[in-house]
Amino acid sequence: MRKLSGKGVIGALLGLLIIASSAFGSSHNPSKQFAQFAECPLSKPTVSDCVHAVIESGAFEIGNRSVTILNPVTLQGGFEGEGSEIKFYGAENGDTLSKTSQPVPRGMVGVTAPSWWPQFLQDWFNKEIEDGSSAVNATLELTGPSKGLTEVSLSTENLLLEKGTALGLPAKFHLENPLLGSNCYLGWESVPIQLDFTSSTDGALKGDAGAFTFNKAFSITTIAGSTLVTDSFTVPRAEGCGGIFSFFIDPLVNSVLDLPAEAGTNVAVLRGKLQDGNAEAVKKSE
Amino acid sequence: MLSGNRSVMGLSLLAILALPVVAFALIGCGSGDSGPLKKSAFVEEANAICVEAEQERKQGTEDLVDDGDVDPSEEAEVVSEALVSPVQTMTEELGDLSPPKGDEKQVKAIVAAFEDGVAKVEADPVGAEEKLPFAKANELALEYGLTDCTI
Repeated sequence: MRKLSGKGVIGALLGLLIIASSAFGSSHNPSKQFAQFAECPLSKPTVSDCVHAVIESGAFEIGNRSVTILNPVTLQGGFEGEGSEIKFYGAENGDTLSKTSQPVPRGMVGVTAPSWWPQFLQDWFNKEIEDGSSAVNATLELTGPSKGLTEVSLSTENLLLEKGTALGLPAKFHLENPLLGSNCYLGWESVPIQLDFTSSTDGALKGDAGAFTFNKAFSITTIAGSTLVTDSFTVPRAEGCGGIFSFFIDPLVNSVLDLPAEAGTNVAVLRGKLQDGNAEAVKKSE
Repeated sequence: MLSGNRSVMGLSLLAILALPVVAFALIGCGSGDSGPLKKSAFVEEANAICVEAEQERKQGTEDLVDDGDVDPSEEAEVVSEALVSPVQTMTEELGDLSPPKGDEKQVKAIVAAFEDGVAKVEADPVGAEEKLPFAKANELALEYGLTDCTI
């Protein structure tokens, strides 16, 4: 039996490392300053720009609740085209908008089962709330495809010039709590909540383009300190809450959150940083 | 004359042989079982099954409300009959559909996940909900485009 030479062993190990990297790691391996663009859809040759945005803070006011963004949310992907003709492609691994949950203040504290429910259901629900199942998390999730061509709209031009829609997200809110089951949503794939953010003004809300800087080679544009706002979105009734008991629990959730909520009564504010990397430069850095 | 007899016999033989084939084809058409469905047709049929199940669950909810208080000893049975039974029927009907060619494993996994959820809820109709019994089924169903099948 032939023994592997030193070079052979190193080669084999490197091969294994490469396999392991693609199996468990990022889709691409851009280096140094481009590392954040690891999920840029570079497999789509027409993609000219890679996008990586981190929403660091902000809030959603939906119905009668205000949810503060405490846990950073990432939006990543890439686009082709210019101005309003941009086509946004999702992250290579499909994690285009990170599913980052945010705590809903007060959750279901103090909520009691309505008296029209069968007694056994009232007893179960009230006991669970008393025993501590009152915390609720909300997660903003993208609707439509999250890989390939998405329904996300992005205009860096509008963002910088503080006009029109800078970022359009068709979305739904996932409400999470053991009593709400695994399928409790505000907005659905077929009826998304359309969030059209602007860096300009929307009603009483004031956005801000933030400040933009470039790296030495002008291959990365960073827009930091941006504030995107919208109050022009409707939030429909909750659906699917409580699994097989959804026809009992949906009306309760809607009454607790005061839903549906008309456009103009809801608020979304995102603050964070967006980076645009030249796709060619990202590729070359691998 | 001889050749004429031969051709009549040949035709009769052909008719006898063809009869079961035609009958099989007719029965096949009548039952709607014409082999694997195309994905779009499968999704449409599956979603229609799920919408019907949801309507039955809604009716079951109304019946539970109308019935008023349920004897605690009958609670599991009543919930199972009104709310779990439609999901069970839905799961069986989804399993009876012919999956698109190449998607057999994916569809089997969806049906199995719903069966698993039904089993959990049947074992503990009220308490199981906290364990998110249909979480996996919902995830797989949505992934496949069965947007009306989530519970």
